[in-house]
Amino acid sequence: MSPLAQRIADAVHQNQPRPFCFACLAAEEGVREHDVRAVALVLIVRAGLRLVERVCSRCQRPGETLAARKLA
Amino acid sequence: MESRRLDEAHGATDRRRRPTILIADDTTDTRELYAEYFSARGFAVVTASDGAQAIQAARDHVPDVIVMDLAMPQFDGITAIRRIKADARAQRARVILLTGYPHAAVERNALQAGADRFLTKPCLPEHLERHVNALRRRTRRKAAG
Repeated sequence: MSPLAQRIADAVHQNQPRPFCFACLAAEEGVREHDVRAVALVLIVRAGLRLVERVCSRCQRPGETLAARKLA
Repeated sequence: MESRRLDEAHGATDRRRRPTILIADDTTDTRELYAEYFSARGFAVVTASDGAQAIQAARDHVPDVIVMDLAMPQFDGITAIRRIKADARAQRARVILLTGYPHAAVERNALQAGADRFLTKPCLPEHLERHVNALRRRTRRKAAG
């Protein structure tokens, strides 16, 4: 996993349970939205994050967000 | 030719039967993850990590479907699609533009360049496969007349 992917995974876990859309997650981390989107797949498939429809806690727009997997 | 074919051990006869997919993406994790998935699903997989490799791989292998990233070194995905669609052999390939830029203008440009579908990242492999198979069905229907 790339350093950016690890950084985004860490940010998602730290923000939990507040969901951030890709644009706001990118802004929070000071990177470009398309870079966050590019690493999201590996975070979902290999790092246990989920893609969920939520209202972003920063911009208040509904859309796709990354979330940590629910614990059983 | 630096693009990579992942099924060389399967032999020519098997290659003729299996659908071929070209995965063009400069993000290694994405490329490898899709390659593993589609290989396991019975596809012959070719990969490319920049636009120039993607064009060359499309000409060399004439895949059934190309999954093309937008932002890549050498040539961006839209330029690569234009060049592929201008190639007499490679133009038969169906193209999915997969991008982290979820903007209407990008979608419009992609479709005008010759892309058959526009998908935004992140795109789960299962979801991508549904689009790939839909395009393959469209090709078969067209061939059947």
